[in-house]
Amino acid sequence: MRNDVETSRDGHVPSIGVGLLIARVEIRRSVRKLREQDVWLAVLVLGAVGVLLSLPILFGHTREWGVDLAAGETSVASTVAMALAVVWLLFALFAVVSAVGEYGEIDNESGMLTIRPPKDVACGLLLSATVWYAPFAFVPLGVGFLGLSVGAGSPLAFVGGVVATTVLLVTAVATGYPVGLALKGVIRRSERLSSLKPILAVVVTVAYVWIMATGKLLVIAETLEPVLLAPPLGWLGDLALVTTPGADASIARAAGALVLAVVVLPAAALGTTASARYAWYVDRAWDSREGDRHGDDHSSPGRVAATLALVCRRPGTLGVATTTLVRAYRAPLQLVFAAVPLLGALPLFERVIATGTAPPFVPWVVLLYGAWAAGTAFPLNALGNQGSTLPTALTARADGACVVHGTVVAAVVTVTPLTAVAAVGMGYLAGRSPADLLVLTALSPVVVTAGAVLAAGLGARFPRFRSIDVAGSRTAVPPSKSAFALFSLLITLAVYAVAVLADETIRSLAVVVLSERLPYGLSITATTLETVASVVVPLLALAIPAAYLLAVRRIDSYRLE
Amino acid sequence: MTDRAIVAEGLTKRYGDDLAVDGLSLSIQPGSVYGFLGPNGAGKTTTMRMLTSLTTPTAGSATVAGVPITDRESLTERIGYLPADPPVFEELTGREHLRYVTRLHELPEDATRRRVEDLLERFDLLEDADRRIAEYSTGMRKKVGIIGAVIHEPDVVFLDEPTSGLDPRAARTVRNTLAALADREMTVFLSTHVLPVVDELADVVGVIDDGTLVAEAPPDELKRRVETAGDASLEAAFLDVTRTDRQARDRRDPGESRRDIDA
Repeated sequence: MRNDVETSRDGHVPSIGVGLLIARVEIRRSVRKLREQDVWLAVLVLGAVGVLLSLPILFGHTREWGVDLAAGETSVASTVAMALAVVWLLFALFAVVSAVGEYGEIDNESGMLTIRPPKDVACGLLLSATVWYAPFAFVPLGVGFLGLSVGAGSPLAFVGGVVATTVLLVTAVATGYPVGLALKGVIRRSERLSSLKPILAVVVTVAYVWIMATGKLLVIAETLEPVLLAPPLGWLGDLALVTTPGADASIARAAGALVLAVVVLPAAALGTTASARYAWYVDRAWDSREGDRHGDDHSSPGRVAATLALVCRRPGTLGVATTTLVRAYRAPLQLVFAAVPLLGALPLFERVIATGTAPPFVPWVVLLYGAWAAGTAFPLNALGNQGSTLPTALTARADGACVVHGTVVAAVVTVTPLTAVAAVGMGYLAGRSPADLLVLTALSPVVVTAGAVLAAGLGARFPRFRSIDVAGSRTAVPPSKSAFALFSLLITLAVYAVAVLADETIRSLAVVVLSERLPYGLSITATTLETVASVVVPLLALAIPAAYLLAVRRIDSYRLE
Repeated sequence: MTDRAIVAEGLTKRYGDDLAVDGLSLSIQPGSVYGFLGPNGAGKTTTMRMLTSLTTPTAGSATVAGVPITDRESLTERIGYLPADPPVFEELTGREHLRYVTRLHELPEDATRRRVEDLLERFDLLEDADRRIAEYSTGMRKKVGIIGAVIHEPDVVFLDEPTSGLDPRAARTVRNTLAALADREMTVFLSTHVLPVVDELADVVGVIDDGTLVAEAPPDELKRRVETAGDASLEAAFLDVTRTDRQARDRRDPGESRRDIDA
């Protein structure tokens, strides 16, 4: 049965047929996996809605460009060329990051690499990455060039744009992907870099969001303008506009872009193969041994346990708290859900750094985030976080109280100091009085603990056990949507009410904001707000012990399905 | 070109200070079943990964089906490999996964389809063939992995714990399949802790302990080593050779203890 005339495995050139097969199956698998990842589906839908809402704006701008070009305003051409060059750079960087991360990994490596040589597998992964990026290139750029085409009054402008988009996508990914794979190989060979990889991933993500959210992208693009408009990146603009009337694009440069694409692709294929070998065939440098070889308790868990023993009375509580923290330290990506709001706060950080001051409400925002993060990180899904050890936890002598105390302690000891320092720091930058700073300091452990306990109750009531992919082969079990929504609502209400009661500045601000937003011309006074808050705070305060009791009883009585 | 299915000379694998495999040499006849035994962490999986070119040896050389293990491209068409954790894609159905594997091997479509159906039926997977592998039991995943490792009729197939997780009927099917493969001149390199499987099928048994091949002989010959002690079983022989090896090591280096790695 074996095909003895087989030659596609040999040589350095990947088998395109096998590469396409691998790409097709990888995409099918990814689509099926994504359909079961409710959290990422929600993120995808939100992102898609955001993009769709911005497309008409993009269309409007590019239509004006098209009108300008048709009127002989050739300066628009350099704007188009810059935009394409920046997009190329972004896609190349995306491809680098993807190859370092998930898109550079082979699922079932033992199977795949003993069936096909690495060149074919690498080719398949490169093709599938290109296909995944295609919508992100063709949708916005397609709409952009459609607008240009309408403004210029010529459908040919759209054709040039689509061709340029294709060349942009293919060459950017083909350039970035092998670089990313090579970087992956470097990281895998370095113990230090391997251990820092999660931190590097966070830094890259934060940097990306910072650049995009604060407008730094334009500043960087202006700085790099001479490079971006120079050959060969600058040729993309000519390729896009060579069919647009009035653009005065160079046919030679446009042809150069096409020729370069034809040259880059096979070179990229060979480069990808070499990089793939470098990345995949390596004895990874990380040392999975933890602690001392000779069994002394100087290991990380030992030190953590020794510290937590000061506040944990029962061995079960100590065990849960220690294990929770050690697991989070060794697999920090599972806390990505608690860190996401920080990305949205980047513009605020930028403003604080730039001006050296903070708006008066920021310290309370910090307290709110601290309470929210303490709840979301561990207690909001205490049952689900047990993972495959849930049967052990449920049948052990340690009871529900140990689990609740342990997860709350783990959250409180880590989040409280950070929250207190950040709240007081922001309070200082907001020009708060020493008395206010003392109040913030005192409130930090209170709101953090309250948040953690409240989350434990809601999480026990609405547990979640299904995991989602976070990065590569790493999975995490996020809180359930019900627990997450309820907790976020209640903790926001609680901290907001406390802020209104404790801080006159916040009370005044709240009156102004609410009066602007209340319907039917309704308004609210500070006294009314204070009265409402003085009812809400005790009610929510009562919810804390109720949440505790609910969590303990729920965990004690939990039965596996 | 050697006429041996597998030839290894001084294969060594070191991870930092840890010596996972130490100077392993063996020579396996084509069409035979080689049972590869060893305690947990002895280096069995590391050895298999070197022989399948997944891991680069620190020293030594080997050929599989006449192909040097450094020539990955040629090796992939001559071997099949089932690691302990079956390399199956959970998002695919059993049939989709096997079809994918046959296409990766660029096998003729029609003949392959029939063969896939035959093997699915033989392993009692026909009814579940269109269910996602994510819904399969451990044993069912193992069966899909076994089919995927042998569907292209390689010259040499490496199987790491092929019967673990299987019910007795399925385990019997696997044993019969392995015996049939060997009858068709396929070389089977079999690593398992299930000694009756090795006892029944293996032509030669190699025992690795702490990275070193400590014994290599047909099963009956190994059992004769312990016959005088009253328990002429492969288990007794295994325990005897690994105990002997440890005693010899302790005499050489009483204070040292090597750390086991099973990659």
